[in-house]
Amino acid sequence: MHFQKYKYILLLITGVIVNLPAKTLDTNTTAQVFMLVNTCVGCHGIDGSSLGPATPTIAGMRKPLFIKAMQDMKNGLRPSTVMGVVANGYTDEEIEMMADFFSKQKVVRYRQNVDLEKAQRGKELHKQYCDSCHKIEVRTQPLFNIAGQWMPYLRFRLSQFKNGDSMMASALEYFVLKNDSEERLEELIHFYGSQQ
Amino acid sequence: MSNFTRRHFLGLAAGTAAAGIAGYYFIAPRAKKKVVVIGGGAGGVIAAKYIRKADNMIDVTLIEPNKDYYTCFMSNEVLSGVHTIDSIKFGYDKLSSQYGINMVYDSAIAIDANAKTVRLQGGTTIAYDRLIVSPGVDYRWDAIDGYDESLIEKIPHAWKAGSQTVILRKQLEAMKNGGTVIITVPPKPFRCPPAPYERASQIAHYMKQHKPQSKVLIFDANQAFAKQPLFIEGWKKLYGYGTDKSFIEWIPPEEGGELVAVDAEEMTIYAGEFEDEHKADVLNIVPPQKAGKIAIESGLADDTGWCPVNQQTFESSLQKDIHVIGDSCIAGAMPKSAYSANSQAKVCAQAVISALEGGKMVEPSFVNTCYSLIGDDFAISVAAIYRLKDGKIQATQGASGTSPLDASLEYRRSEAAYAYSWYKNITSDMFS
Repeated sequence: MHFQKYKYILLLITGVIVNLPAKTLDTNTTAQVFMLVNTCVGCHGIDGSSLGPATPTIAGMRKPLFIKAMQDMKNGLRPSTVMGVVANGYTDEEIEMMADFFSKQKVVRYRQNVDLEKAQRGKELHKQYCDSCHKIEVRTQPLFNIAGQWMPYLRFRLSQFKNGDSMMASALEYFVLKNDSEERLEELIHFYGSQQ
Repeated sequence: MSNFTRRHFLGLAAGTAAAGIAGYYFIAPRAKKKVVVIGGGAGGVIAAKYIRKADNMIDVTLIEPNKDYYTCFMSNEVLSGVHTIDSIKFGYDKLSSQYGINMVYDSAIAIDANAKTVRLQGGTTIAYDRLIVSPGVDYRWDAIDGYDESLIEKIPHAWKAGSQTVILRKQLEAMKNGGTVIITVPPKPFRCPPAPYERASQIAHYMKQHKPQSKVLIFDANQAFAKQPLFIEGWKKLYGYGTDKSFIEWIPPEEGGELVAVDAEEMTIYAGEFEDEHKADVLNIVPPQKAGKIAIESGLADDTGWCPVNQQTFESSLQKDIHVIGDSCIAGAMPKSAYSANSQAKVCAQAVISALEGGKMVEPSFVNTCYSLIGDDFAISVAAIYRLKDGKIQATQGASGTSPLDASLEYRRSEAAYAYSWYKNITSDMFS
């Protein structure tokens, strides 16, 4: 079990995650890329930076993670509202093109309603529990950059994780066990929401 | 798209990016190609903006009579008082300042497809190389006995947002507790298929808080409606649907729901086979619809009242070098929604650039997502991906569907949060 988990993390970090042919994309396909990503930005914001309050920013999302998110939604492995349906509309190759585009977009972060005291406490919790994977300070993160991500989205995702989605379920279980409370997760969310 | 700059289509379509740029310098002295867009709504704005974003060597003019734009989407939430009318108001300033689009605040009254010009109410004539027509819907004023344009102050349709929305809101506020609101739904197709039912939901939401003895009746010309099981489930949960205390009643045609005539003086409608009489305190007639006036008058519509187009490029099947997008066009399986118009406009922008710059048009990709807010923190959705198949826009197998029935309150709450995000992002796509 544990070996599986670390193998999975390693895969995410190295970027080799799905069995796609490691094909370099032809520059001629750029018009096709825009045709595809144009269908994303209406909801996820210009260049993938969402104006919120809940739809997540997908700009700057690492390519393998984007691909995994789309594939998991396509295969019903990841809960979603509309994205399960939407992801089904794209081929593996198209998903890779989108992933490539959004991974290269700069994240625009918007101000959120943050409780600064909670954010301060969240910062400590983050350092202790989350920073090893979700680097915030330097933002050369090996995993998905959650700095400045929309707080309602983070809450929805945490709630999904609690119901057994992926390796985050055990990470959360550990966090809640150690802190003896789920409320402290809210402090983490305020910390991430406070990041500009 | 910041790094999605001028002429990338040409560059790419012509082969390598370098060849495209070289091509540009060789032909630099030529006159700028001119695109004119009629209609500053969900389709027209996006078409104009995305052409300029992709290729700022094309001159783009957007013709729109109103300086303020009120989004139809989210206007039902103005009726319930959840939002103010000002919160759904937008202006076109950034389209000119940021994207160099020539904004012309006037009405297009005639198109000369041979001379390739558009004549404006103000007297000016504008020439185009390509014209994009995105006028939204117009109403079939002759379709309902006793109701026409002269009555819209007393009996608003509120099917275009703005002053009509404000009138209906004021009538709801002035209505007594115990009053009856009647909404009549025209035969399909009409703009925004789930909107009458979202409207009824929002009015019920307002009544529940402020006028709990009141009722909203939906008289429907259609036997079934968009997201129907989800609406009914939501109405049962929030508004007692199906009980004698229900805030909402839906009357399909087989139960006498089809509108026959209106008596504006008496605020009464006649509906169904036996022309039963129903009196309202507030009457909201959604008129039967057709393509926008300019499209019909310019010979862009067929005898259905809508505009047939090549569904890959949106070029009119009836007139050369003119494209029709949004509610007015016949776009295969896509519904007449703001998001459909947004998606079609982006595809059309690429087609127009390809046509003007001589590139190859890539395979189009379309999406529609649509949320309906049934109550506070309670929303449902439908989404689909569409592709071109056998020359027609069709939903991709397995890639269309609605939110599930029996979802948790948390799920509905998340959809409401996503609905507001949808709104913010689509309006930013249009206006910033």
